[in-house]
Amino acid sequence: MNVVADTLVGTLGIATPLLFATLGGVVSERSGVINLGLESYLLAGAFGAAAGTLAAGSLLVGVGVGLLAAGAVALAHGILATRTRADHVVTGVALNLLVDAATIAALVSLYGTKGSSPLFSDGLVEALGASKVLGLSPLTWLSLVAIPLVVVALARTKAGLRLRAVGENPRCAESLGVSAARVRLLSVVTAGLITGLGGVFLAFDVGSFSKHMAGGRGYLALACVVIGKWRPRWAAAAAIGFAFLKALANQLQTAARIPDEIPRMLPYVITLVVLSGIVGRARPPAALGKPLA
Amino acid sequence: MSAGVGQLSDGVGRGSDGLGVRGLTKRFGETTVLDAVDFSVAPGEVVALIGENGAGKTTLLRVVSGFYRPDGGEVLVDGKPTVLRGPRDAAAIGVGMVHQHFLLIPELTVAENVVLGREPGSGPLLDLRAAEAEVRACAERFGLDVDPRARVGDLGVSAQQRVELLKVLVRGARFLLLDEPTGLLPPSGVRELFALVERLAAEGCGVVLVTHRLREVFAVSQRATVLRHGVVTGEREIAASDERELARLMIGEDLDLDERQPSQTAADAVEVLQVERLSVAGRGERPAVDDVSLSVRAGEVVGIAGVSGSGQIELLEAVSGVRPIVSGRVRIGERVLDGDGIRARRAAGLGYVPEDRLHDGLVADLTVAENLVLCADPERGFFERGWIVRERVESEGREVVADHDVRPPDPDALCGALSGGNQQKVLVARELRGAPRVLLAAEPVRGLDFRATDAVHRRLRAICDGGGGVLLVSTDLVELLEHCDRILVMFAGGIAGEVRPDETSEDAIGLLMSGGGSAAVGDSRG
Repeated sequence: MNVVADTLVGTLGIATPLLFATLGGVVSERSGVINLGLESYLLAGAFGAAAGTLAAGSLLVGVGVGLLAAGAVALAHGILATRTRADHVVTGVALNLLVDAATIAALVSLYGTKGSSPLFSDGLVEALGASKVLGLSPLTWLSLVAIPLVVVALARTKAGLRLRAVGENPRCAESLGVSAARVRLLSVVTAGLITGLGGVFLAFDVGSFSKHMAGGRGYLALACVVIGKWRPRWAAAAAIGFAFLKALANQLQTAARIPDEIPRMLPYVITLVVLSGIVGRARPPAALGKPLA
Repeated sequence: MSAGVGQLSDGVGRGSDGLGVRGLTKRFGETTVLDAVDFSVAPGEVVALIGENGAGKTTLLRVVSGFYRPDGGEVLVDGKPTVLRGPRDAAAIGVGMVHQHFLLIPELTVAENVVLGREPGSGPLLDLRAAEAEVRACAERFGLDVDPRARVGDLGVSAQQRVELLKVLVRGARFLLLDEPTGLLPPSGVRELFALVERLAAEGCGVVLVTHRLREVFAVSQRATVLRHGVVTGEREIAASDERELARLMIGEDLDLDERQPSQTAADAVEVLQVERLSVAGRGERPAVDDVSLSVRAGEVVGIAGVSGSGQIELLEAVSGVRPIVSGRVRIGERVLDGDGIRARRAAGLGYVPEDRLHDGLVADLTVAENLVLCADPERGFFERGWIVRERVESEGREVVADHDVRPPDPDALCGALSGGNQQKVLVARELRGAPRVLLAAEPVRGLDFRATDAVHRRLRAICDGGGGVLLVSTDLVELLEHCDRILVMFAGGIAGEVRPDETSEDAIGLLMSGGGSAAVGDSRG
């Protein structure tokens, strides 16, 4: 019984950053911007959250700085993706390497360490504990609420229609007076803010920032986007599904001695299978990765 | 130029009301596409804008619809010089354009496509029901049959064009710009479109019709402006002009429109292509090609008519080997090609001019000469032990460029940089150089001007004269009627009938194309 409860709580905890990044990925990709930069948004969000919290002694400031940092990285990414003809894949990966290195450099200059920031003070850790609702971080609840929000925003709002239109055929959108560049830029920044929340969660979960903290979740989120065929609800389901497998593996690991690599490998194997077209056809947005002329 | 301007100032429809350009110049790089062009359309008037490929017709439309900024001259709206900073500005003054290649989003519904950019709803929310109601009301008002909830990608070409029209109509266009609107329509669709154009004009809308089919000019417009090489060469009232005069203005010389020589194909001539009970898988349950049998005899051009999407392209692709066959067989000459690939087919004497010439037919980033030798028979000596024989490739390029009048006459030009007509010349040349016994051609003259069209048709005929056969898919019935010895009409993946051009009419074929008129089949076969 305890194992089941632990697995479920564990699932939602593991799912939180992945969910945010996945939803961010959907928003970005549906507007036509391939987003390999999710990892960098997570890192920036986590670092900003830790640094802001430590500097101001306030969790709220931490959230604000985390969002600001992730938003700034996404803004840079968005400008590259809309104002230049730069390849989306290359810019995304480059941004990941850059931000990863930048957070380490900042760790050195701010805290004089290469590994991780100091831990939050006991008061802050207590406050984090006190903020939990039904044993889960408010951010976890927010990540769950964000699923229907993104679904509705894409399908039932004016901005959502324009975003989808630009992802399919930016020239058509332009001809109707919709600025494709602005829509894509806003989409990427929105993706940055959503994903940034995932980064904030990572820092708050541990109570500090440590290097490489995103740990490949950005890439995993992109796999979820593909497996979910670019639809927010299925992508979110994929994210939760992988989180569940991971939580299960954590529970069983000691008993069954499953090598950790197996569950970690699984998402990418499934992604390959989906992309190969064996299980139904995944049809990405028609203008995905195509620079604006 | 001054003479042209003088002539124009006497022109018709030159009131202060309306949409126009004065002294318009547009350059792309070093090429001047439009040179001091004057043009106008008044409310309630239908003006035909005609000219060869590359004459600048589409560019002119794109300037007045805000897509391009002029490099010189000005856009006039109701007599006032107006700067259009983008399509949004043009839309605001009531200019709507229906593009030749539809600007639609297949993934979205009709209603979503139509309201995009001016969505109904309060705050950030999109009121889809209101959008559908608006689209439905507009469609009913203009008698356009469209389901607002349908996904655009599921619609046929005619319906997609209706969606394009609706996009313009719901925005209350004062001026409607139609860029080659009839190319993909069956005859009934053309009639419907022209009825709508006449109605809009009667309601005070100014319509510009870009076309290269002169018959259409006379069917619907009151005035024609002719462009050649970016210069207006004439402006005529339709009632006081004729096709010959307009054609001369378009190409700058009298056109040698020689009559077709119907080939004397003996009924017992050898069959160069035989297709037996061919079926090809479709996207859904229904096969794209359903149990089709046909043959092409030596010396014959066999046409395939049909509303686009009736399976004719899939049929051609299956015969050419690029699309898998579900069942049936293909024979080229004496060779039965069961399970053989494209290479075997080419070796047996098959040439193929695909519908999308730049995408499927040529490599845009390679030069003309490189494209010409891409798939050449090894015996033609362009390669030796895997190495390119430069001199042979270069001489091939020079020969083809001269023989086929490719412009610019530069075998080292990148194919992607050529105009559509010249790309087609290169593609057709490549297929012909292999001396095919059978040539499959899909829409080989789509978007080409008089001269390029004529050149392509002559080449097709030359294959027949050399003892080969041609299978020609076209949605242009006039083309088929003029150049084919027999026409097969496809409907929903099957052959709906076979007709002979001298014993049938466009209407009879149109009926077969729409799945009706089995009587006509009986007649033509009898």
